[in-house]
Amino acid sequence: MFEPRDAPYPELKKTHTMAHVGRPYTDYKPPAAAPVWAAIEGLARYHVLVAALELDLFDTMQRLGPARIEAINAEVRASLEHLRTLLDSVVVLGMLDQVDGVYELNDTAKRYLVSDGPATMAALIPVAPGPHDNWTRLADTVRHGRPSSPIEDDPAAFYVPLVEGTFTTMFRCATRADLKLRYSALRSPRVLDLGAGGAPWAIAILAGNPGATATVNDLPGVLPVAETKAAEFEVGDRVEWLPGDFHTVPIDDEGYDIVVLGHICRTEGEAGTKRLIDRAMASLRPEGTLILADYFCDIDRKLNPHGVLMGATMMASTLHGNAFTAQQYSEWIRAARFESIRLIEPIGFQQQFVATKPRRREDT
Amino acid sequence: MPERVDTIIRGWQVVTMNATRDIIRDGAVAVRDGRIVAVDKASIIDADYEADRIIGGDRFVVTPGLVNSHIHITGEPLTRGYVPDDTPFVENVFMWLCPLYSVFTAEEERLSAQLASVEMLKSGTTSFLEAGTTRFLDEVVDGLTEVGIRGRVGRWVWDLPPEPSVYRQATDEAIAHLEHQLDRYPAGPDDRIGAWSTLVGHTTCSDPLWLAARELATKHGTGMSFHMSPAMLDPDGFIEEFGHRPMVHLAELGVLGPDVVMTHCVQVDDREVAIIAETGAQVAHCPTTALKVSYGVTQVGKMPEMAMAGINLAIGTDGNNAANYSDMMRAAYLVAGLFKDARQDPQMFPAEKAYEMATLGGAEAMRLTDHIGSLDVGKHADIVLHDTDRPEWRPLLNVMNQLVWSADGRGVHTVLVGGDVVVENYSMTTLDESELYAASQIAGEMITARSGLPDKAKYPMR
Repeated sequence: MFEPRDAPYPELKKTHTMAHVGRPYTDYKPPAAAPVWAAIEGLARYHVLVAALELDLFDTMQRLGPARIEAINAEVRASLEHLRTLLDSVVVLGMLDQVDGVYELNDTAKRYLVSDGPATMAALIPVAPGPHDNWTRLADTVRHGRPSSPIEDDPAAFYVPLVEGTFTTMFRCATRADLKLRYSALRSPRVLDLGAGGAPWAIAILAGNPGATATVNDLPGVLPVAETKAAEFEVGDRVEWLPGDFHTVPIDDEGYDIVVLGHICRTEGEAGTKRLIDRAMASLRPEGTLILADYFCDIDRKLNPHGVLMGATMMASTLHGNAFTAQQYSEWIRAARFESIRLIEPIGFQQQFVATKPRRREDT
Repeated sequence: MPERVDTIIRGWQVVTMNATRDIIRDGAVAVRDGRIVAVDKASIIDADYEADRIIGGDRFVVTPGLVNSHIHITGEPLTRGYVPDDTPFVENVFMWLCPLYSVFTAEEERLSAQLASVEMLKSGTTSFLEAGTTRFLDEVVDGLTEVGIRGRVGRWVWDLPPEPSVYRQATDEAIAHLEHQLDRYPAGPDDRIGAWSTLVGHTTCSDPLWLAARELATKHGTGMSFHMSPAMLDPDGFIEEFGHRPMVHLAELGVLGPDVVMTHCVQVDDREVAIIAETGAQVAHCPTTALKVSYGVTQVGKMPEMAMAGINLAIGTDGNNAANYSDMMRAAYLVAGLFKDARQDPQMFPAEKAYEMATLGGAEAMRLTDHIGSLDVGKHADIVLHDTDRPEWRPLLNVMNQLVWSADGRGVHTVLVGGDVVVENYSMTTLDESELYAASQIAGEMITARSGLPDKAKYPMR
C-alpha cells in the first residue's frame, strides 16, 4: 500500500502520486490538529458558557445594552480581569459581539441565551449533558458497562431541572409541529403523553385545540413540573394526571387519538423502546397518531454528530440509554404495524417520527 | 401468397421517423421475430402479409418508442418528490440525494427499477440509458428483465468521494466494478439489457479512473456516460485542480469521443462546445432538472449552439427528485419551448427537432442507430400506439405538433418492445401493477424514514 509522503522533487511527484494513489497530484500535508484541539477546548467552551449563565451575564447585558467591561462589572461585581477573559471567551464562541471594547449581545445570544429569549436554552445548558461528574468517569463506565451513579438511582432529582430547562425548546417544537400535523384541526382529540416531563407536547396540543383533552404521565416526583406548566398555560382543567412508570402504568386500550413518546425512548434501550411503541399502538384508536420525538443517528452512525454524541451522553449517565438510527426506529415502528411513517423536523435539531395506526378492516 | 409475420400494427397515422420522415396515413407495420419487416400503407401490408395478431386501428397514432438518454432508475423513483423543490444544487445532491440513494436495499433497488421502467413504458419510452448510479446491479437487471424494457445500465462508480460509505471505492475497486459489469452484461444490439462504462462523473473521478473507463468502453464496444457541468461546481472544481475547464481536461486525457454521452453540460463555454463537437461526443439534455434545480439552462445553456455545431443532443428525464416524472413527452415539450423563450426566437428547436432528439437522438446516444429510434425495416419493433380518442388529441391536424405540444404520456395505449406487447390498453402485461404500486408506497416510506431526512412538505397533513 502506498504511503503518502513529502517528495524531494516536486516535478517528479505528480507522476508518482498519480500512479500509486490514483488521483490527481496534490501536495501531501499532515492532517491538521484541529479536531484534537476542538475536543480539548470542548470542556472549556462548555464551562465558559455555563459560567456566563451562572453569572447572569446575558440577562445583565440585555438590560444594559452595548457596554464596556467596567459597566458590566458594576452589575456583576466580579474580578474585572477575569470577567474580561470570560467575556472574550464567549465572544470567540460566537455568542457575543465585541467592537472596540464594547460588548453586545448578538442574535444568537438574544435568541437562545437570555432567559426570556424566544427560544431560550439558558436553563437547558447546565443540565443537558447529564450529571457532570459522570463524564469524568466515562472510561470506567465503558469498562464496566454501566455508570457508577446512573440517573435511575434518583430520577426525579435529575429530571425535574432537566424538564424545566428543556421546556421552552420542546414547547416551541411541539407548537411548530402543528404546521406539519394540524392537530389543532382535530375534533376533540384525546392525547396521551407518556413520560411527559413538563408536558410540552400535551400542553401545546391543548393550547392549540380548545376541544382537546390529555392524559399526562410521569413519575410522581416529576409530574408537579407539568402541573405548574399546565396551569401557566391555563389548560390544567383538561388534563388527567397519571403518575407512575410509563412501562407499567395502566392505560386505556384504543382510547387516544395522539400518543406522544417525547424524548423518553433513548433512555430505555432497544427492548424498552419496542415495548413503548407497542403500548402506543395498543392505546391508540384506529387512525390515531404516534409522535415519537428523539435524537436519531444516521444510518452509518457517523454523519450526524449530534445524534451520535447523544448516544455517548446516554451511556455516561443511564443504565440502558443509547442513541439509535432513524433506520432502527422506523423499522420498530413498522414492526408494530404502524403505517404512513414519516419523519418531521418542526425546528432545527428536533425531529419526530409520526405514524398512523391502521384503520379497522371493516372501515376500509 | 402473403408472407407470414407475427404481428401487424395498424394506425390512422404512422410516424416513421425514417430518413425522409414519412408520415403514413392509414399505415401499418409488419413485425416478425421482434424486428420490423415492412412499413407501408395498411392496404399494401395487408396484401403482402398475414399475421397471427393484429394490433391498433383507426384510432391510433403509431410512433417509434422514445429513448430516454438519462434516467436514474434507482435511488429516486421510490423517493419521488421527497426532496423539496427549493434546495440549492449542493444541498440537493449532497444533503438529500446521496443519503437517500445510500439506504436502499437490493430488493428496493429492484422494485425501483421496475417502477421507473413501468412509468417509462406507459408513457411511450421503450429504451433508456441509465445514469450509472445503481448499487445492486444483478437485482436491477433481474427486475428490468421481468418488465421487458430495453436499457443500458451501470453501477455507481467513482473513486474520490469518501462518503456515503456504501459507495466508497478505491480506484482499483471502481475499475473492477466496471470490468465486472461489462463482462457480465454484454450490450450488443440484440441484448435487451446490457451494461455500459458508466461513471458518476462531475469531480468524483481520478484521471486513472477516467482513463480506465475510456479503455473499457473501447474494449467492450459500449458507450461511456457520465454527468458533467450542470452547475458551476464542476468547472470550478476542474479549474482549481487542473487549471482549465472540464472538457479541456477530458479531451486532453483522451476521454471524449463519439461513444461518450455527457449529461447536462449546462455550464460550458464556447471552447468547450467546440471541443465536444470536434470529438464527436454527445450531450443528454435534461430540461426539467435544469428548471427544477435552477441550473440556468435558459440563461447560459448553449444547446442551440451545440445543435448548430452538429453535436447530437438527446433528451433525458433524470431522477425523480430532479424532475419527478419520467415521461419523455413532457421533457420533449420543454426542449421545444425553453429556448424559444430564452432566445425570443420561435425557430429554436421546432417540434420536429425535439421529437428527433427524443427518438433518433437517443438512438444515436445509445449506439443503437441501426436498431431503434425509427420505424424502419430491420429495426427492433419498439412501437408506441397513441390513443387519439382523447381531448388533447382532437382534432388531429398536425401530428408532430400534437405529439410535442398537445399530447403527453397519458395517451399511450399500447407499447411493444422487440415485438412483445408490454403495455396493452393502458395496462402492463408483464407484471401486476397494483402490487407494484402498493410495494412502492411501503418501500418509499421506509426508505425516507430510514434515511433520517425529514419530511419538508410545507403544507400540514393530518
